[in-house]
Amino acid sequence: MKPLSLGYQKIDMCPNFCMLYYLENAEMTECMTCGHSCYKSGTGKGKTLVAYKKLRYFPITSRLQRLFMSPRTAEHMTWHQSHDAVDGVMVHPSEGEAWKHFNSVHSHFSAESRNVHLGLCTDGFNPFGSFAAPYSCWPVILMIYNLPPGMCMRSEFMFLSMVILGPSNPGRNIDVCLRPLIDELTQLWSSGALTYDISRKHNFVMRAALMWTINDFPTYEMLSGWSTHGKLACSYCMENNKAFTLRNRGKASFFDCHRRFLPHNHRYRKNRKDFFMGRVEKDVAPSCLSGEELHDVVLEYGDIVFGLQSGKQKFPGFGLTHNWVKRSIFWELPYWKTNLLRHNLDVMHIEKNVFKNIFNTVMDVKGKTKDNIKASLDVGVVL
Amino acid sequence: MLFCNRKNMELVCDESRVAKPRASFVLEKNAQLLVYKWLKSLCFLDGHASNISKLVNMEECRLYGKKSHDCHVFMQTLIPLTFRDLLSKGIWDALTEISHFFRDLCSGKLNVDHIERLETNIIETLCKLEMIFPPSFFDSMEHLPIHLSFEAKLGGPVQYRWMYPFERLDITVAI
Repeated sequence: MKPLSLGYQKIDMCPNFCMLYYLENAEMTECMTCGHSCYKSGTGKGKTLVAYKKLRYFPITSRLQRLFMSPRTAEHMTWHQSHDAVDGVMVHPSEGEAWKHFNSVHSHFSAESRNVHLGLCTDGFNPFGSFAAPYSCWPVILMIYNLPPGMCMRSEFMFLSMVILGPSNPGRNIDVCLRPLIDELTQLWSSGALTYDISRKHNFVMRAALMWTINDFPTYEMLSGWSTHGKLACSYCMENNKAFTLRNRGKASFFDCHRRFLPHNHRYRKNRKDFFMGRVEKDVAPSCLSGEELHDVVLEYGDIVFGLQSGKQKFPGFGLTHNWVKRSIFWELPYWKTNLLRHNLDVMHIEKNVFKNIFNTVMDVKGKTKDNIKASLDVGVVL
Repeated sequence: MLFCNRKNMELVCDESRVAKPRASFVLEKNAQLLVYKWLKSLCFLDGHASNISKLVNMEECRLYGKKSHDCHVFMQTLIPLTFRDLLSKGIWDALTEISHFFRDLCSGKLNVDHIERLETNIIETLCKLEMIFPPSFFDSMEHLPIHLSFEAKLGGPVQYRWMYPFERLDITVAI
């Protein structure tokens, strides 16, 4: 792919995910945090240097430029603005509120319809099959929301942006690996890239913005910095939810957390019998913080040191007043706080888990049902 | 203080042993067999779903090797059909409502008015589930549907924001 200028960069990285040997650190041979050597022993001195771990990074700019070079794709890159939208009906993300809000806030960006709206997805999987030795490989994929519905989510138009190799899961240190991508996205937002558009036969400055990320629930923590464990797992309700820990099961339960979303005069609100024993719900639904408010909150927490120790560092009040584990690297994007929807909850996984819970409980599947002895003990437990 | 008042779930203590009575939302053994038998004979149109009858293990009364998409089909079309007449009306209603919620949410064409209706309905549905199932049933995954309709309003149809295409792509990357 190199002759097409679609090559990739190999960036050495610390095997403990502490740092990348990138830009100003490119010449270093030892990790700044853990002191681990960058290269395997026995390499160098006449032999080729072999790094312990490498990050493969596929620059996105040249790939986006490529889309404008082909007449087959160049005309479709403006579909999001040129198609006929029916009022009140959504068939594409461009008709959603988040997109419209973004365009109205950044009018200089939306003025050029060829500017690219991107989405980012990452997910861990084991390339050697689920029965092989545990190994976690994390591809980071970008997709282009400018394209019409039929092309948008096709694998041909999804660009692999980065492969983070295992064997261990990067966890919170994924920010270290995302650094080159975020740098390039910031550059694409601020100065853009001169691109030849074959459908109009002239050059223009193409800019790009990341709309949101797509991730499953455990990855949500890695990308957003809001831990999805424990009682404060929900990143919308944050510290305002009423989840509690079950004594016998030892896990957080979101029982009776939903009545507060009901209208004030709803009959369920006064029901003392069927919900939490004796509780009348008077609270209103928790209000969601806007992107800018969240940005201010996140700024108050300092940086964490990435690497082996990243999981052990806790901000004061963690698990009690907040669930922040880090300041996500996405906040460095200048427009990130104006996005209404930053990280998506994955419908696929939620649907799967809800179904499994319902089915296993109703069919009383041994070992899987939620209606077990411990559940019965929790129902009748005296606090 | 009790978490909640569930007379039908409390353990019954004899002198020698503790017994757990069958809760109202759990099917009887005969009814379970009936369901698995029905699933075994189930046929779908080509391309709609994988061959679900192959997942059924009649000896152990279990489904083995469910894929995410099988769960998707189950959730959206089979839940109301499977449990009809087997569960009591109130429970079946709640399960059907959550099934319809996911079906409407996953439609390729979303109506803005419709989403607002979904947003109000899902609250009541979850409350109904809370009245049926014990507290241990509600982990974070049962709570999140309440925010899904809000996200759909912001981001548009879920087909552009879910992970099916990427999970499929992972296989290609692995090869």
